[in-house]
Amino acid sequence: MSLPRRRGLSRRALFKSLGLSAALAPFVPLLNASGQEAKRPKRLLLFFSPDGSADSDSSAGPIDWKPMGTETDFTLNQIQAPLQPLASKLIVPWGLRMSVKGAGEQHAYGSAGMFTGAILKDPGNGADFDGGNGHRTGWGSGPSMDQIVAAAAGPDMPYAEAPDSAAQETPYRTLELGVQCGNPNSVTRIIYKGDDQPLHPETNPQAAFDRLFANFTPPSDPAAAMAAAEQKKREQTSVLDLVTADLNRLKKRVSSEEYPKIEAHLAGIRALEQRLDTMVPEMNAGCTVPMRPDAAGKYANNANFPTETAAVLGMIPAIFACDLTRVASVQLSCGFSNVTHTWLGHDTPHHTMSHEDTDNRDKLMAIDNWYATQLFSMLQAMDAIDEGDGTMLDNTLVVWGRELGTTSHSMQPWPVVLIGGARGALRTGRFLDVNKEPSAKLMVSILQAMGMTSTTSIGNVDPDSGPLTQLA
Amino acid sequence: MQRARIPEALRTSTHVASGDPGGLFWSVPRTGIAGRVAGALAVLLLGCSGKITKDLPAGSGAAATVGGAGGGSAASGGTGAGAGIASGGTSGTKGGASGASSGGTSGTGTPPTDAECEAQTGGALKIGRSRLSRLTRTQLDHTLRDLLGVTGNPSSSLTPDQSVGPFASNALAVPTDLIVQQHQELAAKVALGVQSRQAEIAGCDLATGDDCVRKFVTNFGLKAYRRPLLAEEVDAYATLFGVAQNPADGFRLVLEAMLQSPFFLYHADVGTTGTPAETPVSLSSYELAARLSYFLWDSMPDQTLFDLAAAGGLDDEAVLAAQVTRMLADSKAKDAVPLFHLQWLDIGATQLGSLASSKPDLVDAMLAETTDFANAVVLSGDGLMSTLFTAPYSYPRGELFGLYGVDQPSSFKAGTQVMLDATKRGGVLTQPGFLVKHYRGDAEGSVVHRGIAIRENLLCTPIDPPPPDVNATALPPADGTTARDRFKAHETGTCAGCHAQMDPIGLAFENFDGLGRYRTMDGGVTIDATGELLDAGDDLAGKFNGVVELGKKLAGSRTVADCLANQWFRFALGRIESADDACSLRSVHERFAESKFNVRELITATVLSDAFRHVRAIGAQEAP
Repeated sequence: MSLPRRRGLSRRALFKSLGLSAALAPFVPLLNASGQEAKRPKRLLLFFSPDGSADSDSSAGPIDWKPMGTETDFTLNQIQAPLQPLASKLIVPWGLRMSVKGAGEQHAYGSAGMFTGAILKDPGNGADFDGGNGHRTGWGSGPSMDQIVAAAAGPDMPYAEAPDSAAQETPYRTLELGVQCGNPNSVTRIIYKGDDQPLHPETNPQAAFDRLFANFTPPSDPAAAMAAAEQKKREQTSVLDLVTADLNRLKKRVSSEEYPKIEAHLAGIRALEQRLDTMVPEMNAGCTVPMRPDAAGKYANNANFPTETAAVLGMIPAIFACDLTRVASVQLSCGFSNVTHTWLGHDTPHHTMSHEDTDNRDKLMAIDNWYATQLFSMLQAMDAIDEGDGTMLDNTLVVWGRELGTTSHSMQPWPVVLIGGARGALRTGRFLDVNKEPSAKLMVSILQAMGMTSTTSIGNVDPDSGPLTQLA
Repeated sequence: MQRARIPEALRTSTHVASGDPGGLFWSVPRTGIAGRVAGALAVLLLGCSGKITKDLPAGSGAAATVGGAGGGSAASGGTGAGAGIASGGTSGTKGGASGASSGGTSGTGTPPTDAECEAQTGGALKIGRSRLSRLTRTQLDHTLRDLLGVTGNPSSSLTPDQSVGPFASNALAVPTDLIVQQHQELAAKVALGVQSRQAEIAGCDLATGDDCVRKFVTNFGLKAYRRPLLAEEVDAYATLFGVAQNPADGFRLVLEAMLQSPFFLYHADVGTTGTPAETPVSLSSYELAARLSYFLWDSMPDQTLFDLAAAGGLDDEAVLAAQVTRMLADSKAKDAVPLFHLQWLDIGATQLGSLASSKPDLVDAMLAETTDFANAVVLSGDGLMSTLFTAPYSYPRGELFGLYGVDQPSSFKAGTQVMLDATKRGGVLTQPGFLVKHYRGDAEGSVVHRGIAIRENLLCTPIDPPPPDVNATALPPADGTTARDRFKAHETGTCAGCHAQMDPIGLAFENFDGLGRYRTMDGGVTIDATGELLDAGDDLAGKFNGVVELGKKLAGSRTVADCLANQWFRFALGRIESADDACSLRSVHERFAESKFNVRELITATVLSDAFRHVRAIGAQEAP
């Protein structure tokens, strides 16, 4: 597939021809809603909902949740049924064994490994968390798929420019968003930049909105807005330069063992600086700024979970349409979900309910169904955005994963669903029986679909697994 | 396949304020796994097999997996979190904490001799190693309050803190892009918010020119950086001011930059030499002032401390001790002292997760109660450790009255002392916050977890994790049985070795249900709340009945006192003590004992210790 001309360059050219400054970039979409070449960036979204598929500890016995039908003509099971209208755009690779293991119990190493294929480590390097059953854990040991993809660059990938390139295509290389994801520990973190490097999701939807969409207000006086934007850039550059100088001065005073902190802080400052320069956002017809969400409630109030979820999922299509990033993750709750789905009539937290002796499968199914419904509404919005040859969903790959196979802690079958075509890289509309294959194979296939065609391994649980050949 | 086990709630951050508890408190099934009772019992017995080694080296397993962690390293161009951390170091959080404490107090380590400690002067001084640590959320909130009069908890927009031991600390966390951006946004928001007060904050008219700008930068910068600015730093800010188009924006930019500067955001102690050293170096006066204020106030120094720092007055022990007295009398101590107690006892909105999300007012009341109690005992009361464990009064408010079964007095004012039934309640251990936090449901091992809390938080003796693959599911409640019956399986066979250390303590808590209410019956049977402290030292050994008697036992124990001292040490320094801190800790333990275990004296002794007044920046974080 031929690579569309990188937007950064074309954007600069556009600015030049219009006699505008790059500093006006945030306003450009509103000045320029037409006459653009079709842009179809390839995108990746990892989507997490908690716990395994409805099973429960009752004696009612396990359910396999296998779709009914043939590879290309199938009906989704109840826990995924809300996605049925998009059956032609999804793939259910049924039966995978999760490539996860390590310290703690299943919720812990499932969380750390589900998107990384990497072992959850024993306590060490200052990380020491409760991993369940009285066992302690450290952090995970490898990067998640989104970070692997975002760290790479190349033709037919989300990014053509390397992460350290001066010409970034989007303001954010990746975005990590979540809802009520808990304090940082091995059970609550699923996205890793690398060994021992969990990434914490932004869990305040309003803060995320302000960060991402603050500049998307149409200026009443474009000339004044341009001048203001240029001044703002001058100011912020100076502020960040000063902070950088201080960090470098501090670095001279501390032990080399502290350098990783200072280097990481400097990297964060550079990312801010780079964003001042970013040529953004590429707008197409779908780039409509969503409503500003309400502030998060005190103590992450349980009752706010649905509205916060809707707010975050409502932002995703706009984030992609506005090209704020091309690689993102959404984490709803976390392993051991303590969310009580009162809006479904439940009075016991999700995880607790999964281990009661009564048959709670109907209720657990309702929870799974609810998450699928939330996901579906986002997917539907993405599928309604025309990007030329196809919809936004067609150009995106959404991976819905969970930290367990079943609520009774089986790590097989993993209830994973892929939605979207990754700009033609995947043949969708399929149900594949890949019983007991390691999930590492699927993850390798996902990396390949995102353009990392020579990748054959992920993580260290099932290294060198190669791709899931059935997916081809 | 493991089944149905609610883990101990996390200890990562004990922040009271700001909410992101998410799913962190795994509240508890009321019922167990009926139909599997016999099986569970069998596995329970079979599962606890083998001799459990006392010292599970926390780092060893990790090292093995680190080595194998290369796969898919495409994203490894990042920060290299693990790379720079001391190779010897399990350093640490909980596990390290436990191990460390056993070295310092009751464990296997041999206490240093008089001769050894006396020899530790000058170049021979030994203290543990400090790390560069970013302000915690509460430290940032209190600092912004004292620096700029900003109220509320602005830091709630930041990613939650990590922890060292039970205490919030960002000493080990490597910053992410997100937290850097969150700090930038917070700085911008705060600076904009106080822009209208520029004349008051700057202290002169910034429109008059460079002299005023430099005066403002110099004076305000000293408070923000907690040290005098270097000439080049003043120049940089003056230049930044000039980038703005008017004085108001110049003022705003200066603040934005200062609030993002690492010298504001981090505790960056390097000592009087100004360069990192392997041997302990005295803290500079300004560093000592800041360490003192963050310890006692959870905030920046005030003008008195800055003045003393400028004059070098804090080098004098008597002056330092007098400052501790002054600072503990200041209302700002009411921020730090409760923070210690809540974190020490592991009580917080996060820890009380499910309750916090469903009944935030009740959780607020629980936190407020322990807060008020800690302040009353330690700051305005007799200050005695024994009172913490035995006081027959507390500071309930709101729904807590119902929970205590006490009528709220007419014209009651929150924060007022209320007498409780001394046969049922005494000190922190019977306060609902503690009881709820360590409750895991009748089916889920409250007995075990409450016992572990006493062992680890109060005695500083670690409990090893259960063997791998043990089915830790407790037997479910059933009519006609009490927890004592259900946990009998732990009393025999190979489980007994470890569980004898926790279950007999936890059983004494059975008079308290999941909300901290007093009860006498369980499963239709009268509760027997007798307990026993086994393998816990002579001053604790023996049987007792109920938590009130347990509190009295703890109140007179040197083991508990030494542990409490170690916990304060960790809180004060944001790090776990190491073997090199042994002489510092010994001096603290002795002074605490001499004071009849007065916590105010303990705090003073901590401040006067060598470890508090020095810094060692380089060298492995040696195993304790």
